[in-house]
Amino acid sequence: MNSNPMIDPRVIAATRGLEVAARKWVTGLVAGMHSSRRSGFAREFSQYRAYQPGDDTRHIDWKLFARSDRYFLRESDVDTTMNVRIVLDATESMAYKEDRRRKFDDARILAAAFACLAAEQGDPVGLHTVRDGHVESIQPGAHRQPFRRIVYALEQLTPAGKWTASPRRLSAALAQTVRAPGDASSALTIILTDGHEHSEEIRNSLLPLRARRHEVLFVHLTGHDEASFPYTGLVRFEEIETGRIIEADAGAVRTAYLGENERWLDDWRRVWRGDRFDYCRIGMNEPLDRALRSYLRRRARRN
Amino acid sequence: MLHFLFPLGLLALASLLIPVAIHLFRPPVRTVRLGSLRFLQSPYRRRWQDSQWRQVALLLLRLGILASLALMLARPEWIGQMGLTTKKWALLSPDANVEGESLLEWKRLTGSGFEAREFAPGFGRISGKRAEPVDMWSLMRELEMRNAESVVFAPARQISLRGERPALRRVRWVPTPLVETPSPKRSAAPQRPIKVAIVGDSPPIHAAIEAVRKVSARKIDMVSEVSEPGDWIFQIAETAPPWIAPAVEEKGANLLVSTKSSPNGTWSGDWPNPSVTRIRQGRGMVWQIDKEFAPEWMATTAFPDWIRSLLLPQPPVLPEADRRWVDPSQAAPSERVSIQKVSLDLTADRSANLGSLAWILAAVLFLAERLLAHAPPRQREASP
Repeated sequence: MNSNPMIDPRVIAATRGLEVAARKWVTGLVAGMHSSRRSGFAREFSQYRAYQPGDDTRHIDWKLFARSDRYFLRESDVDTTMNVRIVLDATESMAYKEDRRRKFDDARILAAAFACLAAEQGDPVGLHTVRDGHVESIQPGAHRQPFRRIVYALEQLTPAGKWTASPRRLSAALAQTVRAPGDASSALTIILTDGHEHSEEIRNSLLPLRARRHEVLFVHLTGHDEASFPYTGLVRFEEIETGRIIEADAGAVRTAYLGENERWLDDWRRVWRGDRFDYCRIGMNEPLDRALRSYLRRRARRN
Repeated sequence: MLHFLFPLGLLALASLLIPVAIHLFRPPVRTVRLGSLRFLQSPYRRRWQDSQWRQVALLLLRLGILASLALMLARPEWIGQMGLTTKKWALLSPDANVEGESLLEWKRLTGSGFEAREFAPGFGRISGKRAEPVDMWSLMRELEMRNAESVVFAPARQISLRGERPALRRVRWVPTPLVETPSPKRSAAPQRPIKVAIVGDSPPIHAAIEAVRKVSARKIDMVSEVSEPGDWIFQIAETAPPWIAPAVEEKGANLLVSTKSSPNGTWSGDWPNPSVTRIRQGRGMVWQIDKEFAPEWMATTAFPDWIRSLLLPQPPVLPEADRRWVDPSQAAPSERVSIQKVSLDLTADRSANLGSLAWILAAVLFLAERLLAHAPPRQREASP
């Protein structure tokens, strides 16, 4: 747990930028974890197998041949690169503020951290931001330094507009990723969203992922006040994306609000929790580590 | 026309600025920006616009309360001329004899858009029916309130002109002669001479009765003893002869007597104000004067008149027979009447005090304001 504000990625992100924050955080978190690219031995050893005619001679372990005078092939597990695709909700509702911090800032730090982790492990990583009715994509493998590219894009981003109305847009952007190196089965989609939609457009966009049995890490970002509704008296509630205003006696509507909110959160959890799905809800006042750990768990299962 | 008895009270209208200022500069409602309002879209939600309208309605109600209170302070009065029409009427009194110049005037008026009406209560069509003489001034006042212009053709009979002449702006009066009507017939029954007996010696009474006899057509006999109804006994002497009591009680004669026991003593010079007490006694009547017969007042000229009124009571004058006239100049408006005075005089009886109305209005508005301010019970009990 990161209770020390000096290592809180939020603080670092606010003072020294996303890249530093993500790197420091990730390094601290995965210290001691075997990072596949740096080791120079990308493949995990699995077994020795006797040479069969027709085998590629490149895979013969010549040192073992020198010792034993037999031909053995050094076999390893299949290389497990994993396509990491980050879907970032950058609609205006993500501009929801609490303690002068936007929900979007949390989402951005998480996205940078995921990108950093993936880049460290040599996984191709892409970023798809849904913003103002469009999907902007940074496809994995398209850049030499995907992490830098993603961080740059994240830093330029401001939340605006609504989620795209047509679910195809996101599916199309994600489909391009699938055609990139690696097969369809080894793709992990990380969704960073607050889940606030107007007519199920987020659900509809993400439904294909579910249907195709992708691996999905759903990071649901919630505000503390959104969940606890601490308001009292006459309050004018404004919907960020639409500007719609409802004035209500907060104390009177609280019970109903909390009930509805709970049901809604349960809905999301039920949809995105399962064998291949991870659902991770992060409040704005909670440490972000949980999301990252959840990612690492899933990543480790793949190795 | 609205009129204020205390116009300074209208300064209280300045208090209207208070709710307006509060409305304009009230602290803003706390605004919370949420990602989604879907959880607030329950039956409890209230649209901002609705609430805005409510605020405006509340403001108006509060302004209304203050305005009515200010009005109440100013003591408003509604001053007449309600129902003033643009009609022009020429009115003819039933007893007016229109001829000569007034006939020409009548024709000119009726030919130039004036509607012919009867100058009688109700102002109906001209019926030619005989009508009682009316109070002209009050009818004219009514016309003044009613019509743009009225011309009244009516005789200047004294009996119709009671009270003070109102100042009229829209009513013109054309005095006319009176329609000649046969005077009511007197009863033709033969009249019996009045018998008068005087007990005691009083030359002034003798003289007065003599004068009455000369003036009136009735025969008056001086007798020493009476015994029939309608006859008179003047008892001047201290002691009453024995025949008087039966004459009054059984025969029905009138007895005039002065009460000696009166503390007021003799009459001095304040004639004619005799205090006479009539006491019925048997069939007859006793007229008691609470003072003593004194030669001083019996010598005045009013004394024979008084004696005549006793002996020959006048029948009331029938209105038809009242031939007394006033000079139209007497009835004409005096030049001193100013217009301002006119309108006030005119409308004094039509004005209505609106102060209590303003008070009621304020109370009603206050109730409405309270109701609206606490209107939606927010359905707390509906929440689970």
